[in-house]
Amino acid sequence: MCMNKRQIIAIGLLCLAATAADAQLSIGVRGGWTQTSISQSNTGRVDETFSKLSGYETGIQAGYSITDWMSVRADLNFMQRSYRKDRNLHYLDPVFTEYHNSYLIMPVMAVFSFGGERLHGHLLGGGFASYWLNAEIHGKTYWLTDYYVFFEDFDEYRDFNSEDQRFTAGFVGGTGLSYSINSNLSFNSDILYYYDLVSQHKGYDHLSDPRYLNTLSISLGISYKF
Amino acid sequence: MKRNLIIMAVIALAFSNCRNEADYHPYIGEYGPLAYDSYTSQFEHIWKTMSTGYVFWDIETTDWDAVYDDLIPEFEKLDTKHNAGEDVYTTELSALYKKAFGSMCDHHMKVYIKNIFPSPSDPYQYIYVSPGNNEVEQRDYYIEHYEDEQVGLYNFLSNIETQYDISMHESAVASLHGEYPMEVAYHYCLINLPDGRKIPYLWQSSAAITPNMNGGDSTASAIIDHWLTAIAYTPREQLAGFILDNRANTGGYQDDMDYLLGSFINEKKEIIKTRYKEGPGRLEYSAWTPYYIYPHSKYHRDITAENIPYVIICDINSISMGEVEPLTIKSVLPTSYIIGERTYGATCGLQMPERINLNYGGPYGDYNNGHYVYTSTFECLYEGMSAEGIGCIPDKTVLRKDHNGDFKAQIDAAIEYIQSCQ
Repeated sequence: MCMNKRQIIAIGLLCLAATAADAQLSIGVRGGWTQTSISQSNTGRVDETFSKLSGYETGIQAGYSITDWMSVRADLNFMQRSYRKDRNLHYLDPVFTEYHNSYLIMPVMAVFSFGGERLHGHLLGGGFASYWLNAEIHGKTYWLTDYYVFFEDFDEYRDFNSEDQRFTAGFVGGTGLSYSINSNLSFNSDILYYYDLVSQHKGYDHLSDPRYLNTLSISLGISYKF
Repeated sequence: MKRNLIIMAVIALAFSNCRNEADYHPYIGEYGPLAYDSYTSQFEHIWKTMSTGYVFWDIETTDWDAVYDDLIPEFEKLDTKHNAGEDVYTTELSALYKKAFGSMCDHHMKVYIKNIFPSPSDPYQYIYVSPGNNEVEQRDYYIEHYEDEQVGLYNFLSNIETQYDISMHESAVASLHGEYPMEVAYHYCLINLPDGRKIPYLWQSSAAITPNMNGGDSTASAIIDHWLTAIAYTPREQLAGFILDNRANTGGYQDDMDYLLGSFINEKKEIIKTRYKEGPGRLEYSAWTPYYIYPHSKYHRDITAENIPYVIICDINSISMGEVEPLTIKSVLPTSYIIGERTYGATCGLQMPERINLNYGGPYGDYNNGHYVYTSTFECLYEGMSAEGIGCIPDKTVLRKDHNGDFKAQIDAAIEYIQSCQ
């Protein structure tokens, strides 16, 4: 229900901006590759290591030029933010879990441009809000009797629970290039880093355990300038 | 360009230190030389390890955060009292720990806490809390503690010839050593029906068939072999059915299922789904993992195809594997039938503290160093449902309480059922 509200607001804002459009507004589509890691404490766990997993993102982007060197850009993306946990303990080392998470993520960034007439460089910086849409887990687990260890593959959806913080937000920044094909159409390529400031795990009053996602995104976009 | 970079750097610096640090989570496997300097720090350590390692937070009704809020001030009062030179009696500590653990759903749980500053005049230094016993003793069909029942049942079965027509009777008390030392008693007999058919009957006080068959006690293994051989090789027309008596069975080895269930199936069967704690979050678990039983060839008989009744007698003191056996057999074998009482309710798996690095849960602590918490390692589902605190509900309830505590009524009901299956 909340997700629908957010989508409606975002689309409404874009429509509103479009009605007031002049030559400064651009709208486009984008897609790319992501790589995500998780920052969390290993306190209390002796053999768990976390590593990055790759994914993809796709979405729409809207820009509004304020001056010839500064503009504002807002994206609305479906983004995979996945990571992996391995057990390293002797004879449990086949055990691992890949956490495949899907987010709806909306960065709002200031864009500072520099460079030539067709080819521009730009720096981007701002904040983002995101909503955790879906969680799947894949991997290998085990079952232990007094005499045997069995390993078993798993691949399933994970139900969200009261510990999951589905709304998160953070800081996003990066750099990129854009190339204007003509006065209306341009390509852009961005490298962005999403740095979460809201924990994915709510924790408890007397036992805090924040986990933050970090995502590197490399994307390509195409925009039409009105 | 320079201005842009400065703006970006300022924004980045502003946000870079906005992440919170995690609190210290004690590793649940810590049972080394923990030295508590106060009652409060002792409780805090136990509270935190429970918070990260207890396996039933998804079904637990005890509000663990409220326990902290309510009890920390009480422990601080005890510390104040101790620091003022007054005695803190173990009964005072006991009242607080019973508030914390006394109604938890883990029926395996036994909590041992040491009074770290015992008074010389205090006869007690240790607290013992068993939420399972607390709950079971409230049931209206509760009669006695399992140790008393084991003795009573053993003595009753020693004279079973006076009650039934018996053509063979063997018994043993086996002492097992190794990783899980235990004493286990057996009675095996062949009950003769008036029509000449036979019922192989086995009572086991614990689930220890596997270690006995793997080089444990030779008398015990012979008794088990005789029971299983009678089931496997008695001609169908002479075999009325067979009985496994799990009353006062306090549990043991899950590998026993290979004999008690694997002997009677033709293909692998999923009997349980299980998971363990992963990550310090209370609701962080491994994926549910199926536990399969495979056909066991040595004593194999397809009792389903031959429609042979398999009756298991259980009661309120059938604990852990003593109740997991009827729960799983009932779910797989259509000719099985459970008679007796709703069992204790300790239906999930345990690993000993030596294996805590594997599971991040289960029994932890050091009895001599302040605390030892015996708690379940695995959470289990039977046919998709948790049975923790519930146990195995028999197909036919026969309460000893309704028969003046007599051990015979439940065996009578089992024989009657088998006779009715012609």
